[in-house]
Amino acid sequence: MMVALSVAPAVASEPARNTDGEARRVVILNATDPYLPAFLALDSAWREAIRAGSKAPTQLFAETLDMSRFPQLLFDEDRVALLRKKYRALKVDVIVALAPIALDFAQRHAADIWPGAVIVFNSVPVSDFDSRNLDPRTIGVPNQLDFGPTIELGLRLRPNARRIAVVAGTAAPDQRHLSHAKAWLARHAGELDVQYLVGLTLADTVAKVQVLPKDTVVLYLAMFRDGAGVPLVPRDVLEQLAAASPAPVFGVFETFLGHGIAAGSIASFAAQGRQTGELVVRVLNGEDPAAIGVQAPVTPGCIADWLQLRHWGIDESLLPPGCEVRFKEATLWDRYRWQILATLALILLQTALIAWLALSHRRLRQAQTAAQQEHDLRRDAETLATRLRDRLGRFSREQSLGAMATAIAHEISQPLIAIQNYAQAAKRRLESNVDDKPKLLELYAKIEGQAARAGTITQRVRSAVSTSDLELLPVSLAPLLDEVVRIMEPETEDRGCHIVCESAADLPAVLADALQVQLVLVNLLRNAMQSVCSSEGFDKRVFIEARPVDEREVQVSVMDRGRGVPPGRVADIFEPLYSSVSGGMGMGLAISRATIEAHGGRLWYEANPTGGAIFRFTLRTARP
Amino acid sequence: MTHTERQTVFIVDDDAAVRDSIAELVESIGLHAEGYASAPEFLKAFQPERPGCLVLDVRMAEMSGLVLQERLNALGAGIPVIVLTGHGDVPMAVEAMKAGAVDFLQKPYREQALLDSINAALSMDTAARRSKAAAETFEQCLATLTTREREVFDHVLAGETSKEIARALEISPRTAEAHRHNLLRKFGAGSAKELMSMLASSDKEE
Repeated sequence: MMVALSVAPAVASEPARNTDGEARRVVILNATDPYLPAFLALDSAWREAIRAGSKAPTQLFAETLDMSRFPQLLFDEDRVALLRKKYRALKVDVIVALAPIALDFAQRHAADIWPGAVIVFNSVPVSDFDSRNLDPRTIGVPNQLDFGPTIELGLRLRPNARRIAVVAGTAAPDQRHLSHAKAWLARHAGELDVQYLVGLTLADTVAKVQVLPKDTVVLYLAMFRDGAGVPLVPRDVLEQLAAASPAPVFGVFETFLGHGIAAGSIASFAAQGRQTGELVVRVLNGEDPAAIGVQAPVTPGCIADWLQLRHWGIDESLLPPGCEVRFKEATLWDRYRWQILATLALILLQTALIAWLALSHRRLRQAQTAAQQEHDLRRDAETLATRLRDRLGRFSREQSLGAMATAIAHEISQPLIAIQNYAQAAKRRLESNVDDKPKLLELYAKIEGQAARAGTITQRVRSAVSTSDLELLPVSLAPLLDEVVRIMEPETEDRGCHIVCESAADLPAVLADALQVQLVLVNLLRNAMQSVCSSEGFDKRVFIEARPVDEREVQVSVMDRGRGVPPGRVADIFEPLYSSVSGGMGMGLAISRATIEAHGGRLWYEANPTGGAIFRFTLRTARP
Repeated sequence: MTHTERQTVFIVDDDAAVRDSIAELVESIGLHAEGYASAPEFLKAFQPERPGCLVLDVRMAEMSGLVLQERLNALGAGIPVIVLTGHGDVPMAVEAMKAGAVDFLQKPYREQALLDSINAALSMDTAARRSKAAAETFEQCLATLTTREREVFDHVLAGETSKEIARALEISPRTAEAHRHNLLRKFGAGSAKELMSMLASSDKEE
C-alpha cells in the first residue's frame, strides 16, 4: 500500500562540493513505515537502478519519518535539527522523497539539511501538482491513482452489481485518496448507489463490510489510520476486509494484490521505483535537473488476482484485453514448473532407459533367436551331413555291392524270362503240330540271343571289377582307412559299435583304386558290425589292422569277436547269393573278393582264435 | 457289330526281349499281340474301341504301370489289365489290383499262368463289349419307337397282355396288338420275354 511520508533533515555546516571520483550520496526519505510493502517494492527497484546506472560509487542513506503513525508537526523541529547535525559533514547529492509528506518535508527543509541536493520524488499523485510549486531542482515520477477506472473494472467484472462501497481510513493519504475517488464518483452520480465506509473503527468497518449485499463492488482505498486514530498497515486491513466481504474488493495498489483485492487499475511499484532510480542516476551523472523535469506517471493497467477471480466465480473472459492475471497458481505448471520439468525429464530418462533396456532385451532375444536359429541350422546341417554321409555310405555300398547285385539280378532275370517265354512258345508250336519251321528257327535264334545277353551281363559284372576298369594308382592306405572309418561313423554310432583302426607306421603306398578298396572295406566292416553289434553279448569293437607283409604286399585285416563263420560254411560265403544276414543279396563277399583279385591281391577268411571272424586281403605295394 | 474285330493282346514292357517273348508266347496259341516299349507309346496308339487286353510290366522307367492304369481309368477305357510285377513287389501288386487290374503275376511266372490270365481277360473284354453293344442297340431301338409304342412298351415290360394294355390306354385290343407287334419287331425280339431279357443284359452293362 502506498503511504504518505515526511522528512525531517538536520541542518549541517557547508558541505564540500562533490568532485569527480568522490562518492555520491543519496538519502532516501521515506514518509512511511520502513516495512510498508509498497516501500519495500519501490526501494529495491530504485536501489537496483542506482547501483546499475551511477558512474561514481554511491552511498545510500535511509531516513524514515513514519508520519502516519507519528503526526509530523509534533516532531518536525527536532527532526530537522537532528538530521542537520547528522549530515553536516556530508555532501548529499539527491534526496529521494517518497510520497507527498516526504516531498513536503524535503521542500521545506532540504536546503537546510542537504544544501544543493536535488529532490527526486515518488508516489505523489498527479493531482497534487495543481497546488504545489516545484523549483527546478525538484523532479520526480508522480503516480496516477486510477480509482475511477478501478470502479469501472469492478462493474465490468460484476455486471449485475448495483452499488459501490468505498472503504477508506482517516490518515492524510487515506483522505487524499478518498477525495480523488469521490471526485470521480461525483462525475458518475445517479448511475450508481454509492456507500462510503469512512471514519469508522476497523472493527465497525469490517462489520459493515460483512453485511454488504452481494451485488456490491467494494473499493478499498487505504486505511493507514481508522476512525479511532489507530495506525494501521493498509494491507493488513485489506486482509480483514476481504475475509469479511460478501463481494469482491477492488483497489489500486500493486501491494494489495494477493491480499484480498480481485483486480484493479494498477501501476507497478517496481516500474515506478525503477523510473525514479533512473532519474536519480541522471542527476548523479551530472545532468541538469531542470532539463529533466517532472516525468509522466507510470500508466496503470488492469491487473487481476486469478485466485480471487476463481473465488468469486468471475469469468476471466470478462477481463479487458491485455489485463495481467497474477497468481494463476492453479496451474500446477506455474507452481511446480521445475519440479514438473525435472519429473518429466526423469520420466523421459526412465522411459528412454526402459525403452533402451527393452530394445536391448529385444536385441538380446533376437540375438539369442538368431543364435538359436544358427544353432538349429548348424544342427540341421550336421544332421543333413550325417544323413548324406550315411546315404553316401549306403550308396557306395548298395550302388556297388548290394544294389549292384540287385541290378545284376534284375538284368540277368530279364533274358532268363525271355528265354523261358521263347522256349514255351516254341514248345507250344511244336505241340500244335503246325509245321512252321521258320517260326521255330526264329524262336530258337531268339533264345540263343537271350542266352548270349545273359552271358554278356555276367561278363559285364566281372569286367566291372576287373583290372581293365580299375584305375590302379599309388594310394596311401592310412588316410584311406581313416576315410572309411569316417564314412562309417554314423552307422557305427547307431549300432553302438566302435571301429579301432591300427595301421603300421611304415605302411607303404599301395596300388589301388581307392574307391573300390573303400567299398570292399565298407562291405567287410558292415558284415563285421552286423555280426557283433546287432546282438548282445559281443565285444562291440571292430578292428582294422594294416601292416606290410613284405616289400611287395600290404595286408589289411578286418576283425571282430562275433560268432564267426561256422567251419562248414567257410567255402560258401564267397559264393554269390550266399548270405548269412537277412536282407543282403549275398553278393558282397564274392564281389569284394573279385575286386581284390582284380587288384592283384587276395581276400580270405580266417577264424579268429579268440572267437569271431577275420577277413584279410592283400594289396600290392606301389614300389617299382 | 464292332466286337467282331479280332482281339489283341497289348504288351507294354520296356525290355524288348521280354516284350517280344511274351508276344511270341501269345501268338503261339493263336492270339494277336502288339508290343509297346513304354506307357506313353501305348497311350499314343491306344484306341478304346479295339478289343483285347493289356499285359503291363508295373516297373518301367518312363511311366510306371500304375500311372498308365490311372490314365486308362481316367479315359474310361474298360480294357482288362494284367500286371506283371517283379519279385517281392507285393505292395505294387496290391496297388495295381486296386486300380482295377484283373490279375497280377509275379516274375518269374509260369507261362501257363500268364496265358490263362490273358484268356480270362479277353473273355471279360468280350462280355463287357457285348453287353455294352446290347445296351447301345437297345437304346437305338428304343429311340425308333413312336410315342404310342413307347407307352405300349412300358406296359409290355410290366408283363401285361394286349387286352390289358388296350384297356389301360383306352384303345382297341387290335390296335394294342398291332403296336406290340411293331415294337417287338423293332427290337428284333420274338416275344415279350425275349425283350425283357434284352433289357436285363443291357442293364447289366450300365
